[in-house]
Amino acid sequence: MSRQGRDWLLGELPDLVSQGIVSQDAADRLCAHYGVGRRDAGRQLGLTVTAVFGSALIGLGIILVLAYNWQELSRTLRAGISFSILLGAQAAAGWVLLRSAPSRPWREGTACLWFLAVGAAMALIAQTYHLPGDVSRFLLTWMLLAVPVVYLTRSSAAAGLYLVGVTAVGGFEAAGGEGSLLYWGMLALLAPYLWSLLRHDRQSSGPVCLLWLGAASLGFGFGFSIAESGERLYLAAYAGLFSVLYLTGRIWFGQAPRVWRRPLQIIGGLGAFGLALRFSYHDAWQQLERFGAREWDWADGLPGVVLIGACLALSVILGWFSLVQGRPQGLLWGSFGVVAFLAHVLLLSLESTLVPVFLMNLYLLAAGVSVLIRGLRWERIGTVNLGMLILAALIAARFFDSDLGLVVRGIGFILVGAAFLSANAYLGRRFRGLRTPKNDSGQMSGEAP
Amino acid sequence: MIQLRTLAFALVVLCQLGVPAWMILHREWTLRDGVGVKFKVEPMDPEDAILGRSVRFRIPSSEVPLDEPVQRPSQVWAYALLEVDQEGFGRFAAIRDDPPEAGAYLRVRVRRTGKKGAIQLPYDRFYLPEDLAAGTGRATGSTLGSGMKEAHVLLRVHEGFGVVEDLYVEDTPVLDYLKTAPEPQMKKGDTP
Repeated sequence: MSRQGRDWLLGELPDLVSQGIVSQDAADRLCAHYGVGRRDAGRQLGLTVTAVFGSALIGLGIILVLAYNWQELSRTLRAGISFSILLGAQAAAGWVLLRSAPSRPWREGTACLWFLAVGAAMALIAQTYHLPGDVSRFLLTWMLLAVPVVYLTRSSAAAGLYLVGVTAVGGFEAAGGEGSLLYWGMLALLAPYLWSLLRHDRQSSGPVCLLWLGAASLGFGFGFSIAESGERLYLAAYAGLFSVLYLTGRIWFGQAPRVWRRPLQIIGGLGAFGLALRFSYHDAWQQLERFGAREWDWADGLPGVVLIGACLALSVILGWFSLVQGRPQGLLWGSFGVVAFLAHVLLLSLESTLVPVFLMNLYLLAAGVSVLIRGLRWERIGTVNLGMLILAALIAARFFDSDLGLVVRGIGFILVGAAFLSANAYLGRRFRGLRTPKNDSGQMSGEAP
Repeated sequence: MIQLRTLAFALVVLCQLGVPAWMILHREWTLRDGVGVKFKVEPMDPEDAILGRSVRFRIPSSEVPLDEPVQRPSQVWAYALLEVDQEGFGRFAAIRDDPPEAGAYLRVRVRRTGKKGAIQLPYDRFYLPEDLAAGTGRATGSTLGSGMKEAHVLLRVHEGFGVVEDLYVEDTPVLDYLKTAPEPQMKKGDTP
């Protein structure tokens, strides 16, 4: 098969898979049949990335050139320029879209240019008529006009730009005390596209990048929602979010061949660990108590309460699903939402930080030990190290937290470091002796902690 | 399938062209048919990464007595009737729930408390070329704290809708003013 043919096949297959016309297996078999290998896929990805960056730079460049504000141009000429930019981008996208077999780099590139051209045209009009500086309203109009670009072109780059724009709108609205409803409504506009994309093709680079962006956007969205409740709900809300992300990632994306292709699991796991470590300190709970003492209206806190309820329910359902699938390994990290919620309830009912702090420390200890045991059982030095890292972080946190002298702390760190190195040396020798081809390939891909 | 996609593409193109076209036409009609009303302002010099350099100004908020006092503070959309003095400066005279049949008025957000309604007009910027906008605050004295120049904005008002037509410093359009104004003398302790 010629190079042109291979490029065409590689450009087409992700769409055919995402539209359910061929399965991922069939796509792999077609690649194998025509001798299209990893190198071709890499070249195709490179072309797509170049096209997206090139278009984005052109689009942003146009916005900056127009931002100079050329007073010499009449209003009519400015209107003409606005429409020319938009029409040009629409024509390019139309030409690519309405071809019988649009290539992926062209599709992504023109979609990106089209998306930015809508904003450039709007900005030039705003500048010409000195529109009030309501950035939120400007972005909202831009995003609403540009969201169909995502559906028409099925472009991950355009969807990514939309996610960034929606998050910015949510931020401006929340900063202005307008609540978070608009953010969630606009995010919902992208949900059908994301669902159809992830249902058929969740391992390609485009969907994976979108998941990274989407998870980050959700993090901000939770912040916008709980801001109205005076921050008293942030532990329960974020713990719930990280649990849901972790469990979703583990169930549906856990088989991804590379770590960076598991965004939900990574963000969920790291977020849960960070939050648990932070709340293993007394002062974090005391701060939460202070937030709780502020006056608040239940109506303002309703979005946060709804999010927490939804996350808890979802994490329980996902946990049950994990059990049904026979993959209980991720349950401990996935249960962080429930544990944090219980700890917060205990804080409120006992009016003491002692029990919640103990619970968080116990949770981190159990999580670290479980990861360590799993690593030993599977004979994976990376997982063993991760378990030891969690335990070391917990020990270090308690050392800094305690009133022990510098010398005692120093000796403690030396001992933990020595234990790390000794364990690695021992396990490295042991695993080299025991490693078999089955162990190398079997549980590797999907069973990261 | 292709026909459906073509149809959807055409619809999206029409919407994307229609919205900016309406924005332009609405403002052009207002500039053509609207009544000119001046408001005193205080200019500054900010920057906007997307929209470019602009002179940012603030029209001081106005308080207007309400016909019917409100029990609880609230913010509503209403129609603010304008009175224009002999020099062309505008002042809000009354607030109505419905648009009046005659006279100049603006549809505005009104913060109602007790017997009064506070109006803060949203018009807050005037775009200029990058090199001119940067020095507006200094040239007009607003960022130096002393020697503040008189500035006003001319708004065209038509059927409740307003468009900024020009910004004036000492009765001179800001563009002409900045081209001819000398650099102000910096005092000791002033930041540029």
